[in-house]
Amino acid sequence: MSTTTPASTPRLRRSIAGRLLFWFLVIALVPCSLLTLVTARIASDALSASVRNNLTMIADDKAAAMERFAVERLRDGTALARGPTFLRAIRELSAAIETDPGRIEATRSEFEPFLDYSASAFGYRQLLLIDDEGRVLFSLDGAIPPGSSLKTGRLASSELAAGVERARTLLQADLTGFDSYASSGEPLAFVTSPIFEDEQVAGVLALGFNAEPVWELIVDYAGLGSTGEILTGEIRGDAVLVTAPLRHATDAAFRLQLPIGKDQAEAAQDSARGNRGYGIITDYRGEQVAAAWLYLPSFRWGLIAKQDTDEAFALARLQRIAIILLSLATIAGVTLAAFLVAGTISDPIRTAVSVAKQVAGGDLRSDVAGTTDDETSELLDAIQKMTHDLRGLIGRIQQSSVALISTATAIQATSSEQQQVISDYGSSTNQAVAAVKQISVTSQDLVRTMNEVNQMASRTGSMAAEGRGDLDGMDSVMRQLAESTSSFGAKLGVISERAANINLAVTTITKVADQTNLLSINAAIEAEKAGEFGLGFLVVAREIRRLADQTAVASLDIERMVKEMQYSVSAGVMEMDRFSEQVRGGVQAIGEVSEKLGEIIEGVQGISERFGQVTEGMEAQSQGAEQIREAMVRLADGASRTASSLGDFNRATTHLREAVGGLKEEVSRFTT
Amino acid sequence: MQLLTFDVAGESYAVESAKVVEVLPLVPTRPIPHMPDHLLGVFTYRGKFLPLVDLGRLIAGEPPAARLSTRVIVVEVCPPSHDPGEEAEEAAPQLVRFGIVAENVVTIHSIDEDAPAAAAKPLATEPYLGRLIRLHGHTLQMLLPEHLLPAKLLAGLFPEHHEASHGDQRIGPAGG
Repeated sequence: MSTTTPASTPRLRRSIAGRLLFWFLVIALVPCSLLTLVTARIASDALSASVRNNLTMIADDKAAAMERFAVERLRDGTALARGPTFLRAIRELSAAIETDPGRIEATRSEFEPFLDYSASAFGYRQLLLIDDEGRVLFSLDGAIPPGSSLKTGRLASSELAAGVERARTLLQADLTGFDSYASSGEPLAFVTSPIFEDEQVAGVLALGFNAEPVWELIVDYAGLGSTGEILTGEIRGDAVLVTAPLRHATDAAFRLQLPIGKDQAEAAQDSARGNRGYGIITDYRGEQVAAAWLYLPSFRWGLIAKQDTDEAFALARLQRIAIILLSLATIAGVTLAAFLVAGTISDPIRTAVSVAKQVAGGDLRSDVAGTTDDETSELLDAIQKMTHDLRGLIGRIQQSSVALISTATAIQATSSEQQQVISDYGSSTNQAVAAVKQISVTSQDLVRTMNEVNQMASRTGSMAAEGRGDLDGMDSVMRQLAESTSSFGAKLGVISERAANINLAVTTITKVADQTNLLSINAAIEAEKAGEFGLGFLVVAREIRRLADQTAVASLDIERMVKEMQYSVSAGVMEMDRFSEQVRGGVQAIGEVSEKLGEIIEGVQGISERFGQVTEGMEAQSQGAEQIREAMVRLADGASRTASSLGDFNRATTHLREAVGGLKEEVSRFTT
Repeated sequence: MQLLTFDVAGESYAVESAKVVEVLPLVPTRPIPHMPDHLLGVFTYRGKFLPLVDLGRLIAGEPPAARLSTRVIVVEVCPPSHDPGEEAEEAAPQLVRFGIVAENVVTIHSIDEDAPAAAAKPLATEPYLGRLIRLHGHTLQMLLPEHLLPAKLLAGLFPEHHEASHGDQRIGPAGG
């Protein structure tokens, strides 16, 4: 049973329901989202490609149409310039201007109908004849005075002058740009075609037309929706000049200028410089547009076919919104379903968790039962059964653990006693081993000692035999010594007597000296008392005293010596008497000793045999003691092992008891 | 001045010969019961009983060696219980005699009055011990026999003498 903390309940709930929800969402939404994203991307790309293709195609269409128009114009110019009338008109007009100005009008009138007809028949607004000197010879309606030069004056920098020059030098028809030549302001473009005379350029035919036919091509907005348009422009100085009316600015032709370097003019500038391209750009109005652009070489214009992005990509936006709405609806549905399913699964589990927690906390009284017949209900039923079984099991375990603890305690006590007994037994055995070892050593020593004693006894026997022989000789010597001692003692007695006599004489002398000394002292005392009369007597008394002193000293010396001699003699006498007595005792003792020695000799000879027997017995005993000691050592070893295993057993019992105690403690947590 | 020298317990002492009446060999004494240990008893001298003091027992607590030179010095002194101021002139009537037993009483020496001496009086705890004298390389201590016997003892030993001095001199406290 896992341990649970109180904080785990919400986590469990969150865990199961949340995880169900999470996985529902993951399963439902991830593929859906991926599919949507991929589809959206593919659709968007396809849409972009179609927009781009559309715009590019329109731009190419327009360009082709305009190129066709230009080629037709050039073909017109080339064809007309071959007409001989133009060459003749140039010659005559030129001759008239140079030679006879008065004939100019007449010559002009001669050729004017033809020229006018030619122009209007091909749909040109103007027709100019220019000689190879660059002088304008003829113009419809006299728009340009005859004789005015293109190399000087106002026309020198016009498109017309440049076109004439190109026709003359390139020897082929050319198309000029639109330019304003009259105050009426309508811009005109010319087709300049060289007029040849004998392979030489005699002059140039210039056919002018206005921008209307070109604009008709441009303002056709088919395929561009409600916001699409075509913008054409050419580089004029530092700006791009719009050359055709626009859908959102119908009067922009030749008026609107887009300065080079700004964002609005980027595409126009790029196309006017001869490049192709496509992109999402900002147009002159500041709107985001999808645009395709290219270059018109005949006109030296740039052309832009464009459409507002709002319109061009409207479909893509609609698609995105639809996808988002569909995704939201899917998420809502999936979430709701997940909530419902998670609830049906997690609620019974929650109940099971709370019951399991009660069981974990030791409360086995909880009662649950499944209400439905699905797996969760079976789970609750199983928990119910488990709790019931646990209740019974715990009760039995509690009873058993009590019994087990008492048994373990009893076992431990018994094994402790046994350990003590074994330990005592081990120490006793050790002591016995030591004692036996001591016995063994001692008996070995004893054997050794017995051997030595045996030898000694043998030696003693022989020495006693020798001693007995010596004693017999010694007995007679002692008897002689006793006799000599007796006579020596008698002689010492004589000496002592003589010394006593000397002593008597000396005492007499000493007494005399003493008396003399006493006398002299008393005489001196008396002499002092006699004062002056006693002085002489005092001297005499002193002399007497000195004499007495010397006598006394001498006699004292003699006395001392005699006394010492006397002491020595009397001591000698006494020693002699004692010695004599001892000698007599000795003689008697020798006799006794001699007899005893005889007995000893016999005894020793008998002992020697017995010693051999004893020694053998001792050796046997020593071996036996050694065997006993080994047996005891083994016994002690066994006791020690038994004691240690009993210690192990004791520890095991302690562990058992602790384990049972722990079990009991664990079990006691349960409330049945 | 002449000094009679003697030994007590191996040390030399001296007494002024002027205070000595006579030197005698050891005499038999009659012990008197319940007397101090050093008071050996009384002896007869020229028909009178005189007390005999043993210096060996008094000073060292041991009896004198039994030698011929161990003798009895009979002294005649004036006891100190009387007025000292009259001692010089009127010594004769107050004199008492007693015997002193000492060892090696064999010599009399003559010395100058101002011989080198140490005033040993402060050292002595007993009044009968006098100054120290240097003589022939030996150090002697003077014995003052007049302080040897306590006055009470003297009164007990010489009752007739004390009565006579009371009657004649009217000096000193009655009975000592």
